[in-house]
Amino acid sequence: MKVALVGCGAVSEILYAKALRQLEQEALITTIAIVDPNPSRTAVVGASLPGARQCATLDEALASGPIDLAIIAAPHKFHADQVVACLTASVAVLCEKPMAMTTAECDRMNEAAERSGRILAVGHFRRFFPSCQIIKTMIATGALGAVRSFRVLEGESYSWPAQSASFFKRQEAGGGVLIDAGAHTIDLLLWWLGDVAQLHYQDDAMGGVETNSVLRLTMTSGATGTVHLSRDWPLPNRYVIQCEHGSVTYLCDEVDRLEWGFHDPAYVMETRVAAAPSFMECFVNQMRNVVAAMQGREPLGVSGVEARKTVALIEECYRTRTLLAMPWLEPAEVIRATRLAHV
Amino acid sequence: MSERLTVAILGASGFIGGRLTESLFLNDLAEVRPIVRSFRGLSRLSRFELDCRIADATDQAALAPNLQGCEVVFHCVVGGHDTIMKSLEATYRAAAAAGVRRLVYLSSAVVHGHNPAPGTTDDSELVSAQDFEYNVSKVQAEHRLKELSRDGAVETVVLRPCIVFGPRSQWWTAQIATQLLLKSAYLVEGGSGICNTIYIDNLVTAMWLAATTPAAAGQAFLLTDGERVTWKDFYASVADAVNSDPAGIVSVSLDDMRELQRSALLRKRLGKIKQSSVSRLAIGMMSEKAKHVARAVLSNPPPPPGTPAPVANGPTVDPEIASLQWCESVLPIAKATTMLGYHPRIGFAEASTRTAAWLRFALGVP
Repeated sequence: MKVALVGCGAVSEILYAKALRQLEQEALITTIAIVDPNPSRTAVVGASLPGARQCATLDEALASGPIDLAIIAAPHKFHADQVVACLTASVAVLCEKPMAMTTAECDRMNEAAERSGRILAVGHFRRFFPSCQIIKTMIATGALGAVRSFRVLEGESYSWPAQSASFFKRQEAGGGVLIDAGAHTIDLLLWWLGDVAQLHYQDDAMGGVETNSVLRLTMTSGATGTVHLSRDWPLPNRYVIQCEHGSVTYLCDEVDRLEWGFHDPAYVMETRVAAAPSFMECFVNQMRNVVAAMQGREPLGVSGVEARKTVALIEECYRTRTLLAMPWLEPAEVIRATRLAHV
Repeated sequence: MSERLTVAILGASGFIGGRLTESLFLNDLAEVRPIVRSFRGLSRLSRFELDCRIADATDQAALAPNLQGCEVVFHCVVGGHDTIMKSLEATYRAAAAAGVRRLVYLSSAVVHGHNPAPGTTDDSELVSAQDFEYNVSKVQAEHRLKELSRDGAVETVVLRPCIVFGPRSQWWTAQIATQLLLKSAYLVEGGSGICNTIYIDNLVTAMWLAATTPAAAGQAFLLTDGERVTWKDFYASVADAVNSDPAGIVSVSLDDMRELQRSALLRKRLGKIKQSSVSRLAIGMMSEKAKHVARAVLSNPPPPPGTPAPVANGPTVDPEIASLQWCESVLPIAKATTMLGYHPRIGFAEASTRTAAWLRFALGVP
């Protein structure tokens, strides 16, 4: 299977290049092209994938020979056009999260997938963590009873080695922490808990993009909860889900650990999954799933249709957003901040 | 000075530089140009639509074009000795090359030592012989700036705040909260030493005055909140914010503190301590610790006030922090008041209230 990697930013350097190399060693794929307008970035990523042709544009890669699968890991604003271009050229796609900046873009992408008959997968790879899969099963089977409430706190002082300013510009990223790291969070919540009935959303964008988001959700199941995301300050990085008979906690990026217990007796168990794959292996498993789905051996993990739900929720958050209360600011600053927040 | 200034802020992704950026922008006081070392430093700044630039503050050639058109440069760069010295030199020279009129350099009150001699003023001789690397570096930086400014190319103003606290302060707010919640907080002699606090917004006010007051050129200013606050008061304010009982704070005797310092200095001389913990924390090593604490906070909600604090192994006392806690002088701000017109607007009580609001938000404490 011939693969092209489009976009040579930090995620490609840190995760995709290693994953592709792994899959090459397993003789599952061959990386034939890597794409980025910045030659210094293709050189960096190309060092790990020496057999791949280094291209400045997607068109150049598509014209260079047959490609079976394209991985789209460019800045968010390019996702829709690049995915549609690939699908139109009968190339299956694994698109990095967020799928797109708007649902209109998602619709265009899903329609292209439908027309081409090719797979459109989206990189919500946390679904491949054993910890997240166990929580999914616990909730789906009602092992702890019905979900009553949840509290999500995920954040850090931003440390991702971004290779451009695109993450920090609304025109290029579509937003801030909510659409970036929050896309993973929202995807997990929707996957575990089902659809949202009501939401209330606040963030701290004041003419730019948000670094803190607070989202209050009421699910159609009746469960309620809050989500606090930050790339401003470290947060506990825990998702605590309270159920009728107990609780379960996802510890961010812990692929093989979770905490759970009953309300009575009120002990919490720290559980480690035996023989679990590593974080990197989970990332590779996502790609193995895409390859297997293309070959008809497995159902696709996360399709474009599924991932659209996350974009739709994020879009609704931004549409209804209000300024986060920041009582530590001066009153005069709050006035200007409020004005800037609603421009 | 009535024209609208364009100002560059070096170290704008940090605690002080970040709040300065935010304050100048939200109060519409100046055209603000934050300068950070890498793209990731844009994260917090990206809440606003600003003319952000990427440049290494230790690289004169990289800085100079980014300072073009600026009347004032604020130097708020944090780091170890090399960063302190190199960034100061590079900034001064780049500012001169770019035609910048004034450089406001953020030094520290530690240039007078942790326990300044009675009668210490802004114009007292700096204490070069000190036990802690950060303090010595700041003294050397001030001396170097004085040498550099002899060419008269750029006006300089040196600011010497002491304990800067408030929203987004890792060391003097979040870490204290962390220690309180983990029952590992300590105070020398029960916290009876003087904590020369300055709330971040008061400092930012002083920084703006330093940039815009003509008579400030060539001067250095000590800066505090102008109140007598003890370390006990200070820790109690943070404890209140996170519902921790300050009675559980361990008291370290002065004798123990001095013994600790002696052994730490001995280890340092033997080459086992390369950099003080405060300096390391200040350059961003706190993230993992803070995460750990935040997890602990969520797992183990703070007990109600009055609950005895479990101190199984006792706190790990940092000699540098302990030394800071033994200060017997209220530092004067008379010079800043007279020459800059600096009057701290926000008293300690109000500052503590605002800090508490942020702290609860930032730690995820309900």
